[in-house]
Amino acid sequence: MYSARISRSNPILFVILIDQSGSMEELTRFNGKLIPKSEAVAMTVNILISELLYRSRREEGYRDYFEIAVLGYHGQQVVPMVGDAGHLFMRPSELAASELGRVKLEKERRLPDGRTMISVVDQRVWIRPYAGDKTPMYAALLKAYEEVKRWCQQKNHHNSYPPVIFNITDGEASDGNEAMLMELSEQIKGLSTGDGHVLLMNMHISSDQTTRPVIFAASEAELPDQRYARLLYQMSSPMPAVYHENIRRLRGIPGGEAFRGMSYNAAMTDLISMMNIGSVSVNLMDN
Amino acid sequence: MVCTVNNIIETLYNPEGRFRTLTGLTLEDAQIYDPVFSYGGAIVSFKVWWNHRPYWLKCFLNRSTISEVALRRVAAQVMSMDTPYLVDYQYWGNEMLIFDDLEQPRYIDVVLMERPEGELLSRYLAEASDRQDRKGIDRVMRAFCKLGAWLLGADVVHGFLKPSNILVTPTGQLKLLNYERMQVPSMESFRDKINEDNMAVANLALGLKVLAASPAAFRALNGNSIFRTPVLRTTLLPMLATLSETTGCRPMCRIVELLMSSNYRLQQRTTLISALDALAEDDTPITAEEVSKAFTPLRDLRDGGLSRSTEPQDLSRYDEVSPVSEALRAVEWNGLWGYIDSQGREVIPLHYNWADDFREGRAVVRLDENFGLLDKEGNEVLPAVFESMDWFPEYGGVQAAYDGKVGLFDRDGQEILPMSYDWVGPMGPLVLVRREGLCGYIHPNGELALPLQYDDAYDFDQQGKALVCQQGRSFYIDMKGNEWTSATEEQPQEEEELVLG
Repeated sequence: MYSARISRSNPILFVILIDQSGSMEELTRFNGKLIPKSEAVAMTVNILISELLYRSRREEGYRDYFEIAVLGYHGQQVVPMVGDAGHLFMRPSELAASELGRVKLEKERRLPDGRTMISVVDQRVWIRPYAGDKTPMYAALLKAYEEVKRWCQQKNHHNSYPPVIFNITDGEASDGNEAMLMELSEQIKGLSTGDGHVLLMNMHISSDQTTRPVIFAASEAELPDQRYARLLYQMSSPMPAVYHENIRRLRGIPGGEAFRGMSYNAAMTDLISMMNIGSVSVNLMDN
Repeated sequence: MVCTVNNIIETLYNPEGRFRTLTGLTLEDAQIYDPVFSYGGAIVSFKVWWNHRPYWLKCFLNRSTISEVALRRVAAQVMSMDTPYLVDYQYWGNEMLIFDDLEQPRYIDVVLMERPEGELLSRYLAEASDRQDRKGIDRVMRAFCKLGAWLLGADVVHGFLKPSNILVTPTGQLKLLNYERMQVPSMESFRDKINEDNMAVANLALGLKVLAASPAAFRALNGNSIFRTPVLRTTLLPMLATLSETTGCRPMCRIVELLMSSNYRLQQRTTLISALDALAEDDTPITAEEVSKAFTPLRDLRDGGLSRSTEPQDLSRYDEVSPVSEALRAVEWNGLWGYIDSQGREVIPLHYNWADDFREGRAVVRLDENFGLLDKEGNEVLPAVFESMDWFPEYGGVQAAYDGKVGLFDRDGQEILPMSYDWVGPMGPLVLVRREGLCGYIHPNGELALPLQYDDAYDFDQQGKALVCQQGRSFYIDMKGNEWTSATEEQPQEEEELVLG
């Protein structure tokens, strides 16, 4: 299980759900600067898309090793942020031809010899930030469930690595109660390909740097005594063993087995690391 | 933490203070933020310049996939050999500083591989065949035979010989590229792998000989797929035998005989070397017509020959049209699938509920809810009674499920693995299987290698290790079942415990 090699005939599916509610306007630290969470998350997803695209690049060009849908949710809407409603799942060859532009990211780097340098990175952009209104997370998860279910049922995806769903949020759902969210997440986690069940990772981010982040919780005991933290834990998939080594390294804590694909009060660097672990860490596109 | 391509690109566009030795290294076209690179096998290869010379810079994202020790040995061996067939290959450990996704600095290993002027053989053949350059391909074929004879007699095994790993310089000199799978005498595995290049060398030599006689065959035979061993094994070899016999090309005959008599595990290196030497000097004339005639059994050639230009077909009458695969196209109309040939004739009637592309002369089809396997005449190689069926190129056959159990069949419908497992993994030195919730490993011939005792398990990596879980514990095992704490550990746990005890 969770060992299918990714190929053009057996591509992998990523679905990224992004909370675009009003609270995403709050500032957070990203690359040493304070910017709205919505901008930081959008840039993090752009970085992940470019990484996936880079890993699909071969001598002759881009190979369609993966499909990706990015859905934003705010107010009462779930909106595609790449592609469109009629074509949610974008492939590398389509992404390569559809970037919206580029932005220069500056990063302060302290070198081993003590010097401080500014690195400039020309980041490709596919999605733009938005923040406003409520948090229709239930509707977003339901949309993801329907689309992923359809994808898994396609005959040519039977041998594919199971889809991975990232749900990035900073708050609670405004359109569903705990029981509804639990039931739906169980349905999502029950979807599968021949190689295993769909992985649902719920990543709660926070701009409050005084709170202790919980990353890939190994048990409920690691969580703060908060109902919502426990709900996210229970909604999230247990991470298969193939991810454990990288998870332990990220957590900096030896041992642990039963990691959940979730975070609570995570910073932006944690979010990037978690998404990398959930996507490129297992070298599935390395054939 | 995870090292990403983004991390490496940041360093290459901001190189100051980032290299221990390779200072002054610059990306080709560094002024444009679109680096020229390719990715594969956890290696990112960038076109760079260093000391006014062009190189490929190879960065390794994951140390566990490529052994540092092996790469050092390969680099040392390559740099000690005085031959025009190899390029400089320098290993630099802990050389390039990157900032990982937690923004922590760390040094990674890189290889600097010489980048001579020229083009990859894969691309050269595509262009030369389009311009019908028989002489050019003939020169390359002879140069390749010499290279092959040298390689099989040298103290290296390339391990991944294919047209995109061979460079053709403007003077016609061939050079081997990309040595990450190379075996050298200082490696323990060298003796076991000494014959690994033989099949690929024989295959390439025969393919080039055909293309030199008939450049149009390159496109007609699906480009570089002519050099793929499964294609040779299942389709081309009988036709190559016919061609070599009818034309009286003795070196070709010899190589074909070697392939046919060795059950595709060619081990007679000395005989192959002398056949390659002879083929390099052979002047037996072979015409495009003789190639076309010998390859007549291929359906696409039967419809007009190798030089035929395909007329566009009217496909608008179908609701769905698949791409051409092995000269046939799966098409669907009104919910039923079948196959048409290059002239649009329905060669397999539209009465299936789904039809996959042809691979190695076989296609999976679905009739109602059950799957079966067809040959190109539409005959049922396996009847449509299976719950699922998928073509496995590694096996050259299908994995099929019946009554919840999975088995493997070859392309002729013969059982390779009985239908007794719940799940069977991809082909490897050992194959992962699962039954009643427990995982184990079998040999490719179906014999049990490691008992079904693990709660979860993964494929073996290139270092011969596999991650397994047993009774809540995760650890690595080697192919004998010995436990290791990590994929890169030097000694198995058991041995360490014995020493400590």
